[in-house]
Amino acid sequence: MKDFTYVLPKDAAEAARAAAAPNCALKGAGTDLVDRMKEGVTRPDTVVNLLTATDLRSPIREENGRIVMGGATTLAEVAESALIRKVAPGFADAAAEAATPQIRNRGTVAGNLCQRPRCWYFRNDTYACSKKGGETCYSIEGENKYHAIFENVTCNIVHPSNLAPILQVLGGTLHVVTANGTDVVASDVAVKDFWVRPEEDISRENILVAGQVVREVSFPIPQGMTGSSYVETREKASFDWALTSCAAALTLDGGKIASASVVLSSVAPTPLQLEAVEKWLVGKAPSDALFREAGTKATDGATPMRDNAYKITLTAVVVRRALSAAAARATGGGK
Amino acid sequence: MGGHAEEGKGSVSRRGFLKSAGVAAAATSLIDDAKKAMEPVGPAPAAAVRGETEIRFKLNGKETVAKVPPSMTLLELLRERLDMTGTKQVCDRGACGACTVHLDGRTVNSCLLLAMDATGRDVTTVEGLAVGDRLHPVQQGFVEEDAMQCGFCTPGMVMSCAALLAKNPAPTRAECAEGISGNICRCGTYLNIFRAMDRASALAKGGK
Amino acid sequence: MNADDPVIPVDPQDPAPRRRRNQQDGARGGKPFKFGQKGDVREVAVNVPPDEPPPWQFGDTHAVVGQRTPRVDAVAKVTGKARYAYDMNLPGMVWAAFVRCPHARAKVTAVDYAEALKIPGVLVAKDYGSKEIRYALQHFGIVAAETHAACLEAVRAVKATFEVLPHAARMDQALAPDAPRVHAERPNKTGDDFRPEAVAAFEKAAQGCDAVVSGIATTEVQTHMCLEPHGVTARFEAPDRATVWASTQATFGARGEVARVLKVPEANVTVIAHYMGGGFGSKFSLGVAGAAACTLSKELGRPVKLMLERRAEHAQGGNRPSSVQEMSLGVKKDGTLAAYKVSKTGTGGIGGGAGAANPMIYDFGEVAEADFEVATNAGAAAAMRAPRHPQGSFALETIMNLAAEAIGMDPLELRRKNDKHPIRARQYVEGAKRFGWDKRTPSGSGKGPIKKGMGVASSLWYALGGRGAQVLCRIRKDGSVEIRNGAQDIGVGTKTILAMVAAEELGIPLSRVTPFLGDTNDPIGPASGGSTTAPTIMPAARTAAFMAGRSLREIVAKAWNCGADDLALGGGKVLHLKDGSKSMTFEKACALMPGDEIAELGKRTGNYAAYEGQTGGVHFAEVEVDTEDGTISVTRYLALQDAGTILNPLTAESQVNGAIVQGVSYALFEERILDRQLGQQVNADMEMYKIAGPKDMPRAEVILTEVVNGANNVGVAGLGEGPSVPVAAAIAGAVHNALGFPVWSLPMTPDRVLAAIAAKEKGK
Repeated sequence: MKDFTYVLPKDAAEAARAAAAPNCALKGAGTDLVDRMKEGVTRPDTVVNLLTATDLRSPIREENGRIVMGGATTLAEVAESALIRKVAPGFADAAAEAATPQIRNRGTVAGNLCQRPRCWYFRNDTYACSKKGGETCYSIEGENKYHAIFENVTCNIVHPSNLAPILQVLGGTLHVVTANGTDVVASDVAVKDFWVRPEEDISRENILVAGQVVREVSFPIPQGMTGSSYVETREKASFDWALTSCAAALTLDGGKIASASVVLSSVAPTPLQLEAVEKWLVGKAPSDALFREAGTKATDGATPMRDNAYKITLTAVVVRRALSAAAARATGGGK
Repeated sequence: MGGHAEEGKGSVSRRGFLKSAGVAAAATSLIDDAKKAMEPVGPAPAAAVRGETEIRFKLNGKETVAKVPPSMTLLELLRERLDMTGTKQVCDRGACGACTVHLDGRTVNSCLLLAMDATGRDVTTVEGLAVGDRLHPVQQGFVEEDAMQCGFCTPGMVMSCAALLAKNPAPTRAECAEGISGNICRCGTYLNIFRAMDRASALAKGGK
Repeated sequence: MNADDPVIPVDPQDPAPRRRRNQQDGARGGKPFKFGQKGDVREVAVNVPPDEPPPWQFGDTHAVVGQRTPRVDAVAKVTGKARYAYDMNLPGMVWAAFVRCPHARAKVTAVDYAEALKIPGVLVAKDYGSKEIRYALQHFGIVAAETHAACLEAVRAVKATFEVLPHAARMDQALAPDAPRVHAERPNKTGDDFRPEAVAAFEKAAQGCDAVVSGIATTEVQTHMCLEPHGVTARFEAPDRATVWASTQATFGARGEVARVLKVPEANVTVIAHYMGGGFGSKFSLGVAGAAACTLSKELGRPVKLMLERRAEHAQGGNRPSSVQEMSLGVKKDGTLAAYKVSKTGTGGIGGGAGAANPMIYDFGEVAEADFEVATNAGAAAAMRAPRHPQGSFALETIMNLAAEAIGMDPLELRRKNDKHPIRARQYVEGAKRFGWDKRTPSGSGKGPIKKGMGVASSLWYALGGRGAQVLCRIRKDGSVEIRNGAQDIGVGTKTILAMVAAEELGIPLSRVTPFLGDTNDPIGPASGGSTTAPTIMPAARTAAFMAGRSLREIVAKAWNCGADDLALGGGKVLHLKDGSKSMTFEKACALMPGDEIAELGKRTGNYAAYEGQTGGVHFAEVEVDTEDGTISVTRYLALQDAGTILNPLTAESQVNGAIVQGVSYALFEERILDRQLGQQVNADMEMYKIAGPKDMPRAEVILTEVVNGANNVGVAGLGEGPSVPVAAAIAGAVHNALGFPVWSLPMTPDRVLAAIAAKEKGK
């Protein structure tokens, strides 16, 4: 690992100012960053340690009808939070299913959202892939078993975050601070607006630019008969990356679906909001047959590559399972 | 995996999403909340460090002072500077758990933890688990149920099991499997480890 | 390696020549001994060689042997005190690492080490190895530095240019009509085609069958992924000595290699492997890392540590070859197997060694076999627990299941009918009862998306050890005992059974005996391969303890004025066999020694005529297949396994458990994925190369079948290979039973399972 200047900011504002430095990386737990630095894929001159920024460690709490937490809240804290388990069990499930106990003890909420993709060509410094500034996406001709089946045009990564889809269906918000010279301004961005498609900018997966730090993350407490869920498929039951994943939130009213939010992940470069499926669900009574059909609809427009057509089947499966789980929680009075 | 890391690329967002607001006002209410639950994390805030830097932390109960560059992981510090080689280096990427140590009682991958981030924290390694010649119940359980073969994953397994037992004095097999799901054994000792945990649980109860 | 103990049976189908070499030439005039198992005890004549104790026979009881005994180095392992080659931190030690080529076939045209040499602490950055690259991550340079970190940065700073050549990293690429040749002197595909007369005989026999079933089974390359990588810490001691701490399964083999590399006498080399972090067949030689570290240590005059980095461990650490096995099996209605035809093709990369042990176990009648090897631009294969067998077993047992279905016979019955091995014959019956085989439902009959199934598969192994070990037993005046051999304990508990055998023979508690392994200054021992370590060392250990005990008896006999044969050792005492009033504690007896110690060297002699030359096993698996998401969960597993005399049931069971765990991993997850572009392994890590974890485990039971095989004075057999043979096959059989049709490809990942289901539905 190349040596670097290690910045230890007191708060998000200091961090944001420091993060404006050239060739600078933000580090929460470092579970992703240190991995990439060892691989030589990322070689920053400056690393800003967000764990010393106390406002990123603000506790998980209820505030004005929202659940709010510091960006550096660990996945373990989310998974173990009674408050989150009560109001949005799907969010707790997503955190609990992520990675390993060791990683969850360190890995942060903001870090989970901002982690770089797991594409094996991206993570290998000997492949000059287009995401790293090269000419080619090697997955097009190469080994693409785990790559995207949607929006796979320029770069076929899949979004790796467990928390991204569930936070998106919950209508989550990222509270960002931005350094502009010595001024620091705060702003909010909806999770659904956070992602950047490869066609917009192949070098990154979200809108954060130099000098920006996610200070806190929040989502509104679901109201009424709402249930949320996060479901994934994988090869191993033990630590593994999802083949397909889906988060869903359903609100029921009078036995019918009043509103639906369904986000797919692990199948496209960004989390995918299934707007057509959501519209189609509204007004219908939840049933296994309905969710099965929703699963099939969710695969519309898939463009599988040589080795990943099986993900179409697994997309239908996770959508159906996520909707069933969300509906069960909604009718069960749970969330 | 949860890493909080995003390199700034210096470009400007194409989406005008920012709703500017004074950061001071927004921050005040949060800081009070934050203070309550916050423990000091990492080194005392300072502008920046570079090159060999002194850190202090507790290692197996002992105050320890070491000089490390920011790029040094805790695993390197333990194995290569302090000659504490019980903690193993295997995948070196947080996937196998062989380097597991306790940081304030919680398991972490020391291969991905910058040594500087251990500043002021309490680190326990496999060498620090037994009290004198008295093995930790997990270690005793491992011995009696032969929960090891080549032994290279064993220190990490022991550390994951010890952390689990501290949290859950009588884990079920499923809970045990989840507890060690960040550890890989190549010889195939998982089945013995489940038995060792049952044994450890019984020993811990009997011992108190 | 001793010539008598090849690591892999030269021809696993016909181990007879080696057995003959090891065995006594008949035992005319020998004494009769009872060998065998419950219900089948045979009298076998044995000429017990001079200095050897008589063999343990059926009905013997033991005090130490057979007790569940925690391994003697367990505490060192659980406390982190066990020091491996990777853990050596020697004064003045330097770290080294290879510089590697990312392309599968290339010429290194220019290398600039200037930037690397500028990094503080870097001592060496230079060419090392061939500039003709034949597989991705082959090394062509080496760096050495004061710290590990500087070493890795230096590797990154080396600037090399390559002339990239067309490659054939994958088997499909190597078989393409215009494929580049991997070895200039021969085509990529070589091997033995069917003999026409064998095919004719097969066809004739097939015509007389009631059903002929066929199918093509494929298995992928699996890498060993030892947790401790290949490598050493080497210390050249000028002018002509060396000590090398090696992660090896062959201390003595490594010693010879070190001597050759450093051009020093073998007697001046010490190889130490007190602990080693996994080998599974891949660590028989000093390896490229070991040779480089020795050379650098001599050049620098400092100790050098060189352990392969994880990515390179996949590429250079060895692998189990892939296979494509195309089979046709003819069966009669009564279950008689009459005709079998199999063509096998696989790749062991640039090294060769592919192939599948198929057929084996069952009597197939007329057999026609073709066996091909495909050279590829990929890392060389190495022996891996039961080389050639798990892949062969998967294919063979799958076609057996298909044959059973074709004639409407229970698959277990079909196996019983065609397998005359007396140990397996018993295991089929006992296992079926224990596992609840009668609750197995007809294939594919399950309702609902999650389908259950049961499968069975059989195991064999050929090795009962042989000449090639000497063991030193030392009894000290204070009553303490040492038992010493220079071979290695690769984690299977060899050190523990070594002490147990000595304690048993000397009639003293285990705590009195200290075992030593893993230092070539102790007497010679075998490489740990082919399940030969225990059966090669333990008889010599027993002989050594017997001889030392005899010397002690002679001392006491002198004091008591009787013959040494009138005395026996047992219960921590020296006992007079004819005069019950006379006894003396072992310690008091030792105190009578005229000198400070008794030291005896026991030698391994050849094998006797054993009860059975092959060990047997029968394994049962139960699975749940989720037909929606394609995942397979192995819910239950039962292994019945013979390993001759079970010296330590605790560690023996662990080894079988290990085989089950590794087999689950092989069956469901493991696959080296090579990029068709650069030819690199894209999943050369420990997360995308998927190894079964704790949540993927079945509930498993191991039953060690008691067999007194009488092959030597101990009669122990190894457990490295036997239990590794049938695990994937048993699981695949259960999947077949669950789905109603086989999944023909390993690993049975969701994509393959879903494809098999889709193909079946399309075919309807």
